[in-house]
Amino acid sequence: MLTKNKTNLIEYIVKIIPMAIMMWIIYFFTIDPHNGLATAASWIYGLYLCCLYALMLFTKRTALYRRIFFISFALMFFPTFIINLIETRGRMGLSEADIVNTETPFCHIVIPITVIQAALSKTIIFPARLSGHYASIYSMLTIWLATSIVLGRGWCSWVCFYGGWEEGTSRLSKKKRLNIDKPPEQLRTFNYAMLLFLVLVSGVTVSSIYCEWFCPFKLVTEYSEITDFKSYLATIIFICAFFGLVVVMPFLTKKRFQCSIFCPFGAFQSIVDYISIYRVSIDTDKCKKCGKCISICPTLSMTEACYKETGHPLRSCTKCGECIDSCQAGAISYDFNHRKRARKESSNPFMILLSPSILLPFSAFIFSVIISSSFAPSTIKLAMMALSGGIK
Amino acid sequence: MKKVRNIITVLLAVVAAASIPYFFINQESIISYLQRVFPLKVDERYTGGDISAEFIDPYGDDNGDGSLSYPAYEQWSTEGTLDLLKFTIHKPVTDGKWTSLRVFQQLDLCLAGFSNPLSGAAGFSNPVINIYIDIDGSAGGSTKTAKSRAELVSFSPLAPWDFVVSINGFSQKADLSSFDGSYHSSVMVYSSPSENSIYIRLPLEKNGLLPIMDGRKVSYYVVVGAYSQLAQGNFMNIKTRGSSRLRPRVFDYLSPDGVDQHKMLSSWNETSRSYAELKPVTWDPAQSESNSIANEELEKLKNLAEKELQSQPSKKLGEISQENLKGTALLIEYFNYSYFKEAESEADKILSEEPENAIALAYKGSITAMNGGKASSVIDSVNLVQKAYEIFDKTEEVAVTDEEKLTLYMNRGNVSKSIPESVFLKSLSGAKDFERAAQIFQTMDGENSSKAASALINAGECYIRAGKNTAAEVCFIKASSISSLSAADRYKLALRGFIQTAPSN
Ligand code: SF4
Repeated sequence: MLTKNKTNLIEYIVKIIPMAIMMWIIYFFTIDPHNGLATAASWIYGLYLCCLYALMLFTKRTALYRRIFFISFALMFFPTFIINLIETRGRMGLSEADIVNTETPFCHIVIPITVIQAALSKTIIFPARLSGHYASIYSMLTIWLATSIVLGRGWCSWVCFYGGWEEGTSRLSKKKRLNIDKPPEQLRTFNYAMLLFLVLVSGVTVSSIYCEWFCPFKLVTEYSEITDFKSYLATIIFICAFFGLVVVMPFLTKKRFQCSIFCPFGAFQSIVDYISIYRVSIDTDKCKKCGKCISICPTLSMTEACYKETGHPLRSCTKCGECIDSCQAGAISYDFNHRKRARKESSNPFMILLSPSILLPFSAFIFSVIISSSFAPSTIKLAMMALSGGIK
Repeated sequence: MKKVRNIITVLLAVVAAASIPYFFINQESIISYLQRVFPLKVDERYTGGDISAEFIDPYGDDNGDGSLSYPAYEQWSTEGTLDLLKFTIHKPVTDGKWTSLRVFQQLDLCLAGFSNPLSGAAGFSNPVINIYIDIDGSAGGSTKTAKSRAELVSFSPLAPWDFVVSINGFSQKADLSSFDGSYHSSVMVYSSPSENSIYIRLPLEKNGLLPIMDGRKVSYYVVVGAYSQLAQGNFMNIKTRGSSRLRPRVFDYLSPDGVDQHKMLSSWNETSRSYAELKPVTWDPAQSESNSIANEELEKLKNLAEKELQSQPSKKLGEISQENLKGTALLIEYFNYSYFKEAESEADKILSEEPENAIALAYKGSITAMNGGKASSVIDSVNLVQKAYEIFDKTEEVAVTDEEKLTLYMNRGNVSKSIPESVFLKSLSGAKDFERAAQIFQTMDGENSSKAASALINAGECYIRAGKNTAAEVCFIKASSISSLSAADRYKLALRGFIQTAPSN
């Protein structure tokens, strides 16, 4: 029999394997070997990612370091995205010329709204490039498909470049000022209704009406140019949606309000989650029924029934790991999707590498690293230039 | 059973994790496969409607009757800004999306150059463009220009115009008016500098333009002039000594097939004091407007290209050694005859004596990238390609002469064109390299013009990889206007519909 200390030591040593692989991946996808500011920025970002993954892996506080990553990921996305827009089309606003030219980036939220039409008529009801662009239709569709197979709704806590905003604002206050831990069922399922409504209305009007009228992130991405009353009204809705759903409500409730109640893509991913490899499991015997996970879950995915009966959070679970970190009984863990009940993890320190608690953060973080490497180093470079007074 | 399932799941999870980086590295191939098996298109109600007809105008004919040259002001002298390359007519849209118009017909104008030094509201400063539209054949309309003494041309009495759209870069709205003044409204003008294009959408409701929807024959006269705020109709009067007062103020005109622009624009008559008379291009929805080349012509071009390939000389290694070449000449010879190992050692030899030899550096960059293609692991291959770009960066710092720059642009362009776009995102910079190379080739003489054409075709292919189709077309049109094309390039352009016939000899 190995002593506990010895087991821990071996576990630490074994974990060097995923760490080394992750370092390679970070180096490979993030480091820009050209000299100058870009190289410095890419090294800073690469080291930051290495530190975060090491902390996730060795401290077992996956949720905390994922959260730090996720917020910074979202904040770093927007400056580069906006500068890219200005470079390619001369402005941040979306004009009719951009629509004619299919210069509108294809964001993942529009996938569920357009995918049915695409399957039926091979036509996309959104003016984006088909290929040859980082945010082209085929590029986003393939990334979405790959991510969904591995993570399912985990997209929303590991890959979504919008979610970090809410994650950030929901953490600004220590106290919950508005308690919606146990919301009425209608509120919990509102985003499914939203999805159905958007798919139907968009199908009938042949227009992605979410982007036209409801997107809360227009304010920080590409607002439409105000040319008439319609665009004026839409802009007011965008501003209200951003401040209401992304700033105020998350701040008051400490929940990712927009993601869990409003976002049609979130609802869609909850459905797609059935095909993913991983999910979160609760060992109902170990569980002390304290309800802390209900309070901590940012997406309203925990209910009493989850830890008393089903042994899993709802399908809306984004695999953020907050409940895992916070559960003092150690009853919650990452698991494989097909398992009906939580299984005790192997005590063999070598087998730990094959456990979902290592494999899920490892896979998810690879997606995060690769996707963020296309913009985060540029944002760091911009910040460095700004600090040295180099931006004109 | 449960155990087997668990093992399969674990295996699947491990394979999935390991495949993620490979998925991103090979994303471009996955996308091109998907595009073949599941082709998608963007709903045309956003993009302005399916294309109904495209008229290509030659590149470099922006000299009116042959005697006009660009205004001397610095802001107006940007090459190609007055050179119309393509006029596209879209099918009418009856339910426009994300636009202020519901029923419209979109017309696109693609120019060889684009600039906005005076910050025109529509995104460009020069030119001024009038599109005259005849929707009822010879029945009614005018043969005179919308503003008298503006363009100094007249129009065919067989197709007198009924409507005119007057576009300039200083207003986001173009004027749309009928020949008799009974209709007058404005049309939004959109432009895309990256695609060298101007778009207008003709409102078909309430403007008398609704008959276009019937699918009838419509004729268009497109005339391009240099913009002047003060000139009549905004068409600048370029005076040259001895030029006739009847000489049209039109730099480029969309001439129909078989019509010589120079001849047509010089057809004014001093005796009768009549202006040059223009013929329109005609869009007949009842006929197929296919630009595509006949199969037998294409076959002919293919054979010629194959013959050209077979006739390419090859040299044995020994023959090259006997040639007494030295230094970069030897390196280039090795490289051109695909003796890359020898080329690499020659490059290394030159660089050990002369580390800043731009030509050796450029070839070293290409060979390093090629080695990347042959590397056994993906990581090695990416590292080698990145190293190649470091070498190219160094080359850029030391390249001074045209020859050195040309060598850099061609080598770097070729590498950018051949590496996976999803990993390196180099297609756009490759296109720019080829365009710069073409510019240098064009300043040289002799057989270099055919090299310029090849470079332009390569630039176009890079633009297509980057999703910039109109920018690619600009390159193809420019290439097809070059007379001394190689058979291979002629075939490539024919496949894309930019050349319709094989050379007669
Ligand atoms: S159930 Fe747990 S892992 Fe899932 S979203 Fe809620 S806190 Fe995150």
